[in-house]
Amino acid sequence: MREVRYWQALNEALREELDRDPDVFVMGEDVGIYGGAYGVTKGLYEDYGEERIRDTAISEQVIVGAAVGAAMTGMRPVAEIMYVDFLGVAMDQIFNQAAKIRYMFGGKAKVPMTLRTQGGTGRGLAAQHSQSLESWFLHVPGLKVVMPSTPYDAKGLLKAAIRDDNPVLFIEHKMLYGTKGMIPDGEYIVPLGLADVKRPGSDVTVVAHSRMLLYALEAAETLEKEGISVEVIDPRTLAPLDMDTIMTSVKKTGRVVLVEEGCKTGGVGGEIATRIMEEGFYYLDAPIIRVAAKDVPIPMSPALEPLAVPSVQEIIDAVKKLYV
Amino acid sequence: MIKELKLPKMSDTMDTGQITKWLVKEGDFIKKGDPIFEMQTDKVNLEVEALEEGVLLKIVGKEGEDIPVGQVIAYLGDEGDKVSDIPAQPQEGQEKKQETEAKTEDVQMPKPSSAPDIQPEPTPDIPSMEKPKGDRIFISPRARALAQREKVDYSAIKGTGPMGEIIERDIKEYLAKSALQQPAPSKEQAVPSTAAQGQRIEMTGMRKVIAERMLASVAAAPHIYLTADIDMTQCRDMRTKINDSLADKGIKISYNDIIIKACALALKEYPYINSTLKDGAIILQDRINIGVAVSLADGLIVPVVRDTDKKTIVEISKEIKELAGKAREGKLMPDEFSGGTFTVSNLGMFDITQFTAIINQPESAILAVGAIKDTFVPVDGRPVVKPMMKVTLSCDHRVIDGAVGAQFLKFVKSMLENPLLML
Repeated sequence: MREVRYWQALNEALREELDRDPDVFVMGEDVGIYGGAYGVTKGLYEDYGEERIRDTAISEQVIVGAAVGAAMTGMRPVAEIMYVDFLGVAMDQIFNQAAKIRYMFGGKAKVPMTLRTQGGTGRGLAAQHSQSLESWFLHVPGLKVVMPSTPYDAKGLLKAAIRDDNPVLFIEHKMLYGTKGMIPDGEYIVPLGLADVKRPGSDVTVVAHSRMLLYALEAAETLEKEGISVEVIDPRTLAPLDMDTIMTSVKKTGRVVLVEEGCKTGGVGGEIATRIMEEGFYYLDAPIIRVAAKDVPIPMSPALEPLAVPSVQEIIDAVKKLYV
Repeated sequence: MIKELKLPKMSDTMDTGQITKWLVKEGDFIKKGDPIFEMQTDKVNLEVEALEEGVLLKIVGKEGEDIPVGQVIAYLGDEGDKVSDIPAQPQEGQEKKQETEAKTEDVQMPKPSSAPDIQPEPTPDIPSMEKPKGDRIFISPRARALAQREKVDYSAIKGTGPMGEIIERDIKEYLAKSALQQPAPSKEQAVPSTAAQGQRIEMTGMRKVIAERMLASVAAAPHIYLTADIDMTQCRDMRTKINDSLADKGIKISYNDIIIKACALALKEYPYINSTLKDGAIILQDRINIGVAVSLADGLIVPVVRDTDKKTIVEISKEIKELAGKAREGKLMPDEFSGGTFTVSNLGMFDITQFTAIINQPESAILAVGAIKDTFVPVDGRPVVKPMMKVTLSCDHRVIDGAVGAQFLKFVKSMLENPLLML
């Protein structure tokens, strides 16, 4: 085992897959000579050359469209969109092309592409560079949505995403790139569709993904001192969603808090809450609480930005509201 | 004068009964001897007759519910009595303790969960133990599911949830408290929504009794099993002769009738096999009453041939036919299936070669009889085909040692191999 940062874990995953499979290539804005806006592709251009590490024009439509085309011909592109906020520009390529082609061609064509991007708040980048838009894509059958919260998961999930024969939207978090974590020395894969119990507990279940997972763990730590045992679950993959792991926990605790950095209305939490109710209403001992971003554009002001999204304290308050 | 009509006890093993159908209505005048309701007990369906006459004022024992023996099921009165004359009192349960508890602890306390819900619908005429409900009760789905599973009436439980609602913790505390006050509550399965679905068949009446008694027998009695091969050549010849000569009278005896007769004679020789263990003593029964297991569509019952040793094979045969017929129609009377001292169970007609039976407590042994099969047997070193039958005796080893059981079996075998000895 050794300690790496989140960006390094991603960088390792890319290198291992580039080495393993000659069909894998990387493309996106500034992924080549510059090494990626957040450093994920650092050194790849030097080691793998411009043929496999390709800088593109500033055109999201072209990046996604070219990746879909390349994937259909048998390549395994790993395309990067610098901010999740920019996916709107390439929306038709994503939900009408990438997600639908396998179905429309009756399985004769497939789209084994990975679309890396990052989202979230924390750097004062204002309303157009700070969103958490994952819930949009849950509504599109044919897309997988992956959101790692730790270096270990980031590496294992990215390798699984690249090897998957379907389009995978891989959303990183701008505040996680510098975080550290342990990973094994050898190769490993984290399969898509498998949640992880990041902290076992017995009183309340907290489900959180991406950076909110770290907040949830911090809240659980504080609550433990007050005698409340919180089980923290990271779905890791939002589509497909591992309801088994979540329901096992709900059956144990009967109380659920769902945390996300995206807006509450139409968010991920609404979907998970409904599924918990459908599958296990009679296991619930209290209403489900969602802790999510306010339904406002993310402010640029460093004083206001953290108020728009959940804080550790808000998670603590929610748990206490359920468990007195 | 108002009289209480209570659920009668129809057999030794009966703890509860189900009224399957009331044959009279409220307001009817009932004469002594009138059939008033049909009841399913642990063993049979019966019509219950009135022991007293009067006007049926009020029915409180509902059809289809398990009702403890001794529970009030209706009120009888004289002409002119009104429903409102029925004295107000809490429902009388089987256990006095339960009743006094309820009285002293304030009638709002919900009933202990072990008793099936036997309260009538609250009516102005008969005050119930339930407190009147005003606003709805707030209870979490999880707590409600638990309450249903454990049959807890939660209307009087005080909630400790964040908004004062009843949560799982409150039901658990209630259960823990009532477990201290009384034997463990019965755990009948409720319906957790995500559990596997399947057809649900209530364990009632006969099924419940079979389950309880078989489990009790296996738990209490260490069984030993002894198997013997019996040559049925002579029995076969004798049976053919008897049946041929009595054919014009419509009499046809079975092998089982002969086996029962042989057992009766053997029991006389070996009284320990015909015994029962009671209060730390072995009671050697002074009568030989052999039960015959009869399978029914929904269970089995063991009608008893009394004083089997004193009856001829033909008498035994007639009696068993009659009892089995009644059993299949559900018309056996309690004294026709109680008081057995030994049981014979025969699965030969299903071509079962050999099996082991569970002792029908409080008896101490049971004989499991298999099919008669043509089998090669060595006779003077040469194979000869003979009709052979395997029987297995299950003995309660607390009472019967292997050697005693073996001697009994040897005796049965010698009787069946030389049936003339039975005459």
